[in-house]
Amino acid sequence: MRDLAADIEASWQSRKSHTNRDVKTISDADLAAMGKRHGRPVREVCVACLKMGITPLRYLRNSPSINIDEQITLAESEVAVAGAGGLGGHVILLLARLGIGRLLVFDPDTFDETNLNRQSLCVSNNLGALKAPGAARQCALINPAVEVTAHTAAITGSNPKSLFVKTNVMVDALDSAADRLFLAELSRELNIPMIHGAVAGFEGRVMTVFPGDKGMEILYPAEKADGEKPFSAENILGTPALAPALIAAFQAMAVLNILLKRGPGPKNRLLHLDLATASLNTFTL
Amino acid sequence: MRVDVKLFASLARYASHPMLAEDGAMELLSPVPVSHIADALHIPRREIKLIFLNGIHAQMDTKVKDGDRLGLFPPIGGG
Repeated sequence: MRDLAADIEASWQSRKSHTNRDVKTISDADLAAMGKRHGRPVREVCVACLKMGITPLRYLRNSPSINIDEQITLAESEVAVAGAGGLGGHVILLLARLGIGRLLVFDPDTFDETNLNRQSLCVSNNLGALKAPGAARQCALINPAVEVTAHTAAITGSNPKSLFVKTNVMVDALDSAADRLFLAELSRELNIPMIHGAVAGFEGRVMTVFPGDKGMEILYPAEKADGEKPFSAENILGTPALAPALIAAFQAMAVLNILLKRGPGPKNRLLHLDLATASLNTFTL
Repeated sequence: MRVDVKLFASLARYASHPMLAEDGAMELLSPVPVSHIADALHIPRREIKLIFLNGIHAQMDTKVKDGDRLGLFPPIGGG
């Protein structure tokens, strides 16, 4: 049997791109077949193709906004997403479509009917099912080149630090102040940047937190973390579908900026968005 | 003096106060701390989590001057 590189060389097809260039491409079916033939995960076959200058069709329309070298970087990256609910569901699906190589998804909860209004992973036939494995199943359908590890324990549990040795970015898609502070502390300890997101009503906010930043302690002072739930805006305004989708897209973009070293923007900057008034404000913490 | 007050998320329900114009403008006689404005608008202190003055993080005792932009946030934790 020929080796993987020879197999790839024999399998690619030329195709005109949307920018009218001739591009070497490969289909998902070929990626899967080669993975099977060579006993390699689809992600590895995908990376091998990209390194030979061959673009999987599923990434063709990412170009040139995401070029082939950047697509390799994404495929070799790992992102941990804490929470697979309103924000997390959208973030996970976006990162899967972008082609992030490995996703660690943490959520101890199950889907219920009150999630249907906003959580993109929640559908009527998975009510009662665990969210993290649900995310893994959905990602497998969207992009088999993404390896998802579903953790049904909360990220705030006693997870060994060794889980995160390859993690490049953490995403805060949690829903309680105490959990968010825990994640901020964990990311600081592990020296991993974290992308904070939170929503209420038709508004939401996003912030990139680098190890050493004090931003999360300003947003969620520890001494008040548990006593303020009745006054937390999401419990007064609810959380319709729109703000989670918007803020998740900003969080996914922040992940992309960090992984591709595109300049994450100024430190300690909080971005607030209001869909109802179509307004965007930035604040310095 | 005139300041621009923006009440975000669930605090927007306090924006119908007669001291606050529809565009968020508020007339004051002299510079006052943020807490003075919060009390004048009858916003309970426990509902105010974050304060920004001219886009920079501020405190309840920070003085608000003519032409300043004040932003008040409640706790936001939805995910």
